[in-house]
Amino acid sequence: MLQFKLVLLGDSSVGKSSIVHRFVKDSFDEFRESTIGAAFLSQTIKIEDKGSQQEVVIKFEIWDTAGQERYKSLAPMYYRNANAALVVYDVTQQDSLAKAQGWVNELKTKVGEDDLVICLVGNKLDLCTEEGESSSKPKAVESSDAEGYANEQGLLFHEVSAKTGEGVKQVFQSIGEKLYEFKKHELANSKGRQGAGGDTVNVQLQRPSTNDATSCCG
Amino acid sequence: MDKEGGGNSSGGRQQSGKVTNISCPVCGESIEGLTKLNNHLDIDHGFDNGSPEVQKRNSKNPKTSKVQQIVKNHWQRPDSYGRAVCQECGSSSKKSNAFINCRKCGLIYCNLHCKNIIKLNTDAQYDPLHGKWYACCYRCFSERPGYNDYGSFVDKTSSFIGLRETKNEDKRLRLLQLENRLVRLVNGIASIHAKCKSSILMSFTMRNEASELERTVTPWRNDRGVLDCSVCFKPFGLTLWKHHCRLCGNIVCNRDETGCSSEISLQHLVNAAKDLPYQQKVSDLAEIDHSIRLCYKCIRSLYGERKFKKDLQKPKPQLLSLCESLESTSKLITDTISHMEKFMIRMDDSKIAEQIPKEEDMTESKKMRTKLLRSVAMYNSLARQVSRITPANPTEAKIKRSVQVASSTFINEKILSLKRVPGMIDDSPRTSSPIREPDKVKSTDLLFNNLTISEVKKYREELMVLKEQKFLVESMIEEAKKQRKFDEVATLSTNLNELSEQIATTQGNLGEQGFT
Repeated sequence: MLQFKLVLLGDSSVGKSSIVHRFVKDSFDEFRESTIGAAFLSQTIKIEDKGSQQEVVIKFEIWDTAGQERYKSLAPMYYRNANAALVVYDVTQQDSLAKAQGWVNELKTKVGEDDLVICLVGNKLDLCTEEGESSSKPKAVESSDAEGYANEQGLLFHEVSAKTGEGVKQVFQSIGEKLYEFKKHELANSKGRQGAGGDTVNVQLQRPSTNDATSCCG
Repeated sequence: MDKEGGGNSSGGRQQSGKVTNISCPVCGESIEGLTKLNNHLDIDHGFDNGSPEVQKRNSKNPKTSKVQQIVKNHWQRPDSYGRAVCQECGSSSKKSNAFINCRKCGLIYCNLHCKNIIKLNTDAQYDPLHGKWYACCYRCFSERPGYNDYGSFVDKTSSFIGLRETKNEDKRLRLLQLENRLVRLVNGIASIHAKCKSSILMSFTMRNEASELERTVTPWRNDRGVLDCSVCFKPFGLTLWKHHCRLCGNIVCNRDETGCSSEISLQHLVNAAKDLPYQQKVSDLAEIDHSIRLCYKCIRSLYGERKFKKDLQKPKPQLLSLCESLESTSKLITDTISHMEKFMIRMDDSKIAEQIPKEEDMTESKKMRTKLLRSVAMYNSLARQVSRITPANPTEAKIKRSVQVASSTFINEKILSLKRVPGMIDDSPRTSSPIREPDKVKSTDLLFNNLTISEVKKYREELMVLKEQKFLVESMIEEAKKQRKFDEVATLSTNLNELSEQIATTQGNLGEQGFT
């Protein structure tokens, strides 16, 4: 099993915690209180190795940071050796994209670019898609704008809704795949460098994740 | 059989222990033994410390102990199963001591909800005058006539103002009287002086006449029976002489250390109160060599206000003027910041609407920036000037300290909005703002050790956040241990170590400025 550290960044009240809870617990709380400091959660997913058609289990250790300005100084500690960063913005709030871009810049300057998978995520898609209803808000951030920016910066890009769960799984799935790809490259490189010296066999010593619904010891 | 009718003292003299019949000296009743006689005297004739009332009550105790009972027939009874239910909380019990009837309305309550007491008469009606205290429920307590939640409320403002006005009126009248007396004294002395200016015995005659005049202007208080000074209350004696104040006539001492009274030359008196209607010109009075004794109270009421007004006209001390300019500068800064913030919001709005900012808006914002930076720099330099002043007295030292504290608090308060200023400009169209940046840092570098105030603030905030997070992670570890998720415990522990390291670093940065 591969373990990856993932950190969520973004302006306050864009729905970072909601996304994580949707992903980890598949639940949504309409009245979630704002996060204090940084919360820790973990979840495993399965992805398919494109070469060997085998299933690979990936475990995410997720640090859900607080978006409030006050906790900004905590963020570096969590993104410093993270493998992936989820930069979240609110599709109904233009400002939040600007803040997200700020985070992306900070990540690019502080962390080596090639070690880190950054994924730009626009949340609260449900607010815009409820067409015809009085409660729907205009979409302040066009998908094309954000996507253009993401392509330009070489980021993954998704639009999700933590409330309906739309697209949340895909975000982590795509991150997992990308991370796995990286890992494979890395392994291949190191193996190449080690040469034919070691016919090492990797034995998985850890027992399978208890988060797995099929596992007996929950 | 000793004596008859010898008063109760006859019993006292009885030494023998044998039991004899003694007749009571008061009523003649024959009583067995001294102790019984004593009791008889004490109880029936009330010789015990002269409080026959008490004795009477004691003796009648068995009869009067049946105090008239309060009516109970309206009481609510427990139901047929002997169960009682509290009206307030609905709890029920069969125990008789767990419940109590409200003595007024008779309903059943639990002990918790019948804690108020109220004065009731025997008919269980509220009677604040003759009633006795009985337990009652909150409803009866609060519904009794005259009850409110806040107690009685009387507006005394008008009567207070009235009192104050009469008092002030009295004070003004008294002052007028003193002033009149002073004027008459001065006038009289001036005329005496004019009369005997040419005489050889000038000083002698003048003193005599002046002393007579003083007594006519002010009725002197009779000094017989006055034992101590009316100002300092020290008793008079051989060394402490009695003196009369020439204006109010009161008797005071002349101790230097208390300044109860002092002899003041006419010239000074007149000079200090030039506005009074003297007959002669003030300058003419200067040549008269004569002093008048005034008590402390008269000096204060006559000259206190005048001195205050005069002091106001004096140039202010440096500290005060600096303080005032600090005040006005701080006002300017606050105004500019709020103005600027509004302006920025407007600029942002226009930016969202994708309008190109107007040229005059740009110059306006630049102007405001410069103004703000200048005033902050000014504030800073003023604050430094204050810290350089050497205080002349303890009061000034106190003022100085307060001003310093206030100014650093002000800077601390404004630092956030000040820091945002360059950022706000940057967000709006790119102009020459980066060049200004060094200025900014300079203007706020009131130093704390080697850190600027803003840095100290930042580090402190960071430290607080870090400690909070450490606590959170610690509780997360506990939680994970409980759930037997040991792989998570490992991750969290690593993070905890990182946090501790970071806390140590930040604390090191803060040095003395950290919290303990």
